[in-house]
Amino acid sequence: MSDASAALQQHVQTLYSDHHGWLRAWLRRRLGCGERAADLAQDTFVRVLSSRQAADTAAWREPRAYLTTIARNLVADHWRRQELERAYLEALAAQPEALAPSPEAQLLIMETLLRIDACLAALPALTRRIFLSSQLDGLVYADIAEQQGVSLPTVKRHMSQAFLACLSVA
Amino acid sequence: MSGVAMASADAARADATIDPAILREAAEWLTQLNDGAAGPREWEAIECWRASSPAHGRAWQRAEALMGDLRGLPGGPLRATLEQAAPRRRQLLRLLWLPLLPSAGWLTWQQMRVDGERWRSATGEQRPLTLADGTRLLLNTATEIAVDFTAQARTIRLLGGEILVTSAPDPAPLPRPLRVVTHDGSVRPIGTRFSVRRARGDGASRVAVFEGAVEVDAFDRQLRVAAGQRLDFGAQGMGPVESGGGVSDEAWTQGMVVARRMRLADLVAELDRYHPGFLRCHPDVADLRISGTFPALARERSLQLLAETLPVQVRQRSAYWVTVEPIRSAA
Repeated sequence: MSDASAALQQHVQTLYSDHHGWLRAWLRRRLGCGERAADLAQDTFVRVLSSRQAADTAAWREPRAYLTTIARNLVADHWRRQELERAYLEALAAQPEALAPSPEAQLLIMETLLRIDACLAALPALTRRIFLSSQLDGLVYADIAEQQGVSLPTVKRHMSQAFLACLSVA
Repeated sequence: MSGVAMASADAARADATIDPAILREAAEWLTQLNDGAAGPREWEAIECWRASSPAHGRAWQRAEALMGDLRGLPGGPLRATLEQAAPRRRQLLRLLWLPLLPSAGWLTWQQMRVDGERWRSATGEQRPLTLADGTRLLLNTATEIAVDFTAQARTIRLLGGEILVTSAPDPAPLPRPLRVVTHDGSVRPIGTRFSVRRARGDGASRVAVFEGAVEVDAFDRQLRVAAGQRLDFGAQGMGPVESGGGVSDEAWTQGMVVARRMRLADLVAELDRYHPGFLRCHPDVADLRISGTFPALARERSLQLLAETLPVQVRQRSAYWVTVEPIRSAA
């Protein structure tokens, strides 16, 4: 282990013992669930450890602000995940049982959904709409062009941009 | 974090260092493939591109995994939710993905979602297939199926496109039921020959029976469809069982499209399925009616027939974009 990462580990340990209890309480207020708060508090510290920014000492001057920035994102991800999960289960319920994936596969689909959702979130609304029309509604580009009132090359440009975004985070 | 998890996170990271320029090219290919705008020539070009370096190969592997992922996403409520993307911080999200997703899970994903052996036909190709139990299939243009035979059941999943099924009695000691499953429901044959279709852009599945009968099970209803009849079933519910579609429903198995007072737009959409690229119909002539037999696999001949029969002209805008327009627009 290098000196730098040993130092980082030391930092995180201090951060953990000083602020873990406080962060849990902060999360519990937001989530209304002690168990989930404990999970997300844990995740927050895991994130700190794997974050390149953690080495940036500026972040350490305001440890609680730093922790809540990460935790706030985790909370947003948590709600988003629930929202997607609900939508996915609804979509599954509308399908014939024979096509329903196994529980393991469903978990993987959720991971995929979250990934794709994250890729899409970074894209402009029009790109997102065009991409979803193509991928989830199964429309051909010409129909999308007509529907969105844009040219065919524009549709392709947006599609390519969306594919690139998905490929880049893989 | 366990050693294994660390290792796969590292693998994901190493995998993440593909040159962005290569990824951009992969995205371009995906864009083309995605609209069915790729024939044998394009696939060959992709193959060549893919093999040009290990990084290209990795990029393409990723692209194929992505295609597999996207294909399996259900629409409906999910689409609306995805469309309203939550505003978030990008910077932290990037950190989030790498450790969470071991690359192995990503790659095996395609196989995991739908069980069974996959078979595909290219756009413009018809592909005969005989399954282990003797059931014969004909895959129409741009079709993908997954064949899943277990001790209990014989399942053919139509992931997209159209198939002709000539069912055989199960040679297994305990005969297993045969089913064809689509996005909309399942079809159980009773000693028969029939086709099932759920092509890109179709809003529902269609079963057409040529011999024997089938039982369709969709949205908690069962309906029997006999020889010479057809039935549409999908999100809009089950249509009535219709008679008399026989000849035109079966024509594709001979490489033909049979039109009987068909809307020109519908015929053009039908011919479009067989060809890479876009074949589109101008709105001004969309509602013209046409009757005739068109060789689906020979587009030039079909288009020539159209121009001879109706006051339309065929305009080749590019190798991949052809429109059927009113004659006056030439002026």
